[in-house]
Amino acid sequence: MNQPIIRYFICCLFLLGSAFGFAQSKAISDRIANYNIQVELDTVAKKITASESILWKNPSADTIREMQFHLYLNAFRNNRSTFMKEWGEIPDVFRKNLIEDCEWSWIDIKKLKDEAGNDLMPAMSYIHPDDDNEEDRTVLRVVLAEPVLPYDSIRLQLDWVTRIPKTMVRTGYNLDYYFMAQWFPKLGVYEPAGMRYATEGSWNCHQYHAKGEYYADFGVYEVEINVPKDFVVGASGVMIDEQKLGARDSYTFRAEDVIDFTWSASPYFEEIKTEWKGIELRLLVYPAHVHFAERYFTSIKHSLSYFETYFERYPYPILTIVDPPFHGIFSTGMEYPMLITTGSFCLLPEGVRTTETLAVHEFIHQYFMQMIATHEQEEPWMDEGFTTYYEGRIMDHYYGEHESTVDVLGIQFGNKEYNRAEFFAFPNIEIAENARPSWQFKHGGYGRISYNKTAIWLCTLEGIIGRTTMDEIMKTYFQRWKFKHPCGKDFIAIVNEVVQKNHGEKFGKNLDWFFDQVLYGTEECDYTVADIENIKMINPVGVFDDVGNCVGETWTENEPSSYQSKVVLHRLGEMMLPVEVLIQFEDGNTVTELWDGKARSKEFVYTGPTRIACAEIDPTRKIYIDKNFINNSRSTKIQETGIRKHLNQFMVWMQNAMMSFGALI
Amino acid sequence: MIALISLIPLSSFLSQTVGQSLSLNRSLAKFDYLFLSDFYNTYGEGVQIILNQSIVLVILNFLFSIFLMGGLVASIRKRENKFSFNEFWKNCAYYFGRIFRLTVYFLVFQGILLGILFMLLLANGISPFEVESETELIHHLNVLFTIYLFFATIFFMIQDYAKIHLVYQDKKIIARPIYESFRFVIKNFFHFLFLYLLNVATFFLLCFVYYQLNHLIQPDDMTTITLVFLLGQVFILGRIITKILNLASADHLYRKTILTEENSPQV
Repeated sequence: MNQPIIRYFICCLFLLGSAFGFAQSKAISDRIANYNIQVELDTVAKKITASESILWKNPSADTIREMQFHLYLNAFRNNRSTFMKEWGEIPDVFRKNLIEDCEWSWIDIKKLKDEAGNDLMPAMSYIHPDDDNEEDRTVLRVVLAEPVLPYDSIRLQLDWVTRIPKTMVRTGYNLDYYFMAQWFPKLGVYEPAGMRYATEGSWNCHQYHAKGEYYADFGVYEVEINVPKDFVVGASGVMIDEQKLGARDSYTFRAEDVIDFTWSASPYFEEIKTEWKGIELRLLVYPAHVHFAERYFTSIKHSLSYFETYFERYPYPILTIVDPPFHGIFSTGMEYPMLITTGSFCLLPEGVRTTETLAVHEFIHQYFMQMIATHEQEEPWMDEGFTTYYEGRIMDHYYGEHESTVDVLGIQFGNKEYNRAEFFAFPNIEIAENARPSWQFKHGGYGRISYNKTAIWLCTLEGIIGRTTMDEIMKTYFQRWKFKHPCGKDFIAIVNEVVQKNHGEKFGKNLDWFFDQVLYGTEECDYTVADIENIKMINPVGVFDDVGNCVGETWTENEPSSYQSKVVLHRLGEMMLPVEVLIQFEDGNTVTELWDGKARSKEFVYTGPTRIACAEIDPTRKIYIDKNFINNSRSTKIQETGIRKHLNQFMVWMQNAMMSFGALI
Repeated sequence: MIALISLIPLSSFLSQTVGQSLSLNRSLAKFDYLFLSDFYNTYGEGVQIILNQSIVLVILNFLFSIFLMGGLVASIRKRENKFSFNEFWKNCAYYFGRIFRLTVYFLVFQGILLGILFMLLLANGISPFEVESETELIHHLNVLFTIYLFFATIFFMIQDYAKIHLVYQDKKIIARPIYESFRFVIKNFFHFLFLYLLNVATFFLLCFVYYQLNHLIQPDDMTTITLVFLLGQVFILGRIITKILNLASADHLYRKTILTEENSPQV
């Protein structure tokens, strides 16, 4: 055969193979819900017009007769939606947009057909699985013309229009900045019997609540975004096509094995790129924040490295970081597949690392819930709490345990300690149990309990079972449940499995007693050293067998003293956790005791030539959920030096305050 | 002395709550956020009571400082005479009402100035949804702060000279001293401004030196704690001296300027 023809043929095969490989790489998830969307952004009318094709695969042995969609943007349709009702009074900053300028948002479906061409519009209805609010239109139910048989698939075609909200929660536009999150009709998750808590097969598709985020199936998204010329676009996934169409540009992005798709556009974005071990890091930032690029990239690279060490390498080819402008502040601090939004302020000093903290936090979400796709509304602790826990680990590891968050003018604190302080500063930490669904935190506590409390009890769990076992648990959990939908009991099962394997029954048959308190209960933890007693022992004195003989004290100065020393511990809180107790004697010797922490009080008694000098419960602070470390220790002497220092500082501050006010005279 | 009063309840409070905790001495070495946060979260109500008491003491001190101001200005005016405590307290009482009213008037002036500038800031927009970027907001703040500094400086200068006028002229109605000091300052603006800025620079130099020295010492034992405390007292003393210096130099310049005006040929 002709050599050039053979070479040409081989090249064509290679190109075809590459195209096929590019178009369809090896699946790492079940790819149940796949979307192909063409969207056009109208920056004048502030609307999006789109055409959407969904390929949905029935993951179950059930016959599916209906589909349920999230229409998140309908939450901002009026003030009667569930989201707006739960939000309460419209904040002043939004009143002008919503009430005066009538910039409400909505999704209007113009066409809905199945692949047989059946018009499904007449079969659409809004449902309210959470609160019977007839005016809420965030969940759409569509009865299918033909059911989807077990393990079969269905393709639907939708055309729809959305009115983009102005500066709404997490999504919308302001000036020329657009951030489009939860912007398209998105399928809920069909949970067959046995999946998570489902006892029978059903759709899991909650209404959009003011508290709580999202839940969706994995799939492939291919989205073509048509925007005005010169808009820079960032999105979930990799850009696979770019076209200049005169007055408009078109960008096509592809994201595989993801649960969502988000995009952002602005003509003022500056694009800064770098890479880490072949993973592209793309920063989209306004000019006022360009100087944060290095801080962002450093913190993200730390996170990538940390997660590669403890879990596995980030499996996606790209991570886009969007630093919203000041007027886009509504979109800061969020996580989407392969795209995160951070936040910064142009004058933020190096020693204030809120920027890094946000970037690290949102990156970690790529693992906890973009890859391990837990239900953010039903179990917010599983992504927010886990993320906050690892945020503390990464920030403290790379930036210092006591200065990772703030290190300015002598004021220092680390991430883990800040999270703990923030939790215990909440007025009523017993207001709700950790396992509560997000929208049921009706009277507060959602953030502090889902984020901070979870991170704190994860630290406590780590303290009790050890870092090595903790890391093994988390890695096992990740490996077993990545690209799936675990629930709380799945995580607990892994904890019990690994702890049993590594420690036998050292902590009991299982650790349910731990989770019953921290996750399903509302108890507080507080241990204290209530008292230290040192009683000098003397010989028996008094009247004994012979009533005529009164025995007196026979001790002399030259005799060595003997003491009965006692440490009394109290459990002030309702939570019962095993604790270590370190007792130090005046001669410098120490003893470490273990207490199961169950009784209301406990004593340790010693007899010997030396007295107890001090005692401390949990000296290495493993029980991080103890609300007060100060009362964990007690000395027999007043700590004069410490008191003097604080008194002196206070006096000098008072004097300076008085002098400063005196300057007004 | 007044500050000492606030220490009594605080000392008792600290002894009873955290006095025997090992955390207290551990917080000596460095800024201990865990200790401070636990202290505030657990004993915050007690701290709040002490803070409220401290605020009352600050207000009392403010009134007392007003009381002392009359005696101070009068003593500076008659500095050629031998200092007499009797005379000093007499003048404190004599001028208290007028110095108090003068202080209130100037607080109102400052309040009006701040109010106007704040309204200007609001007019430009401060909501993140209204401004293009925070640099725009910072620029507005910088401009308004500069304007505030300029006018506040003038107010403070007029206030200083109004006190001096008040004592020199011994008028009951203070509107006149205010008006005359206003004219006086505007007429000799650059002289007075230069002196004022010199005094302000002296104060900032004092602060800088104190800050540097303070950071050299780590207060983690009784010796260094006492040293830091003494350094703090020296700084307070320095502030008192700069305040007296400010008044004395203003009085000197006032006299010199009056003398110059009196000796200048009449047209």
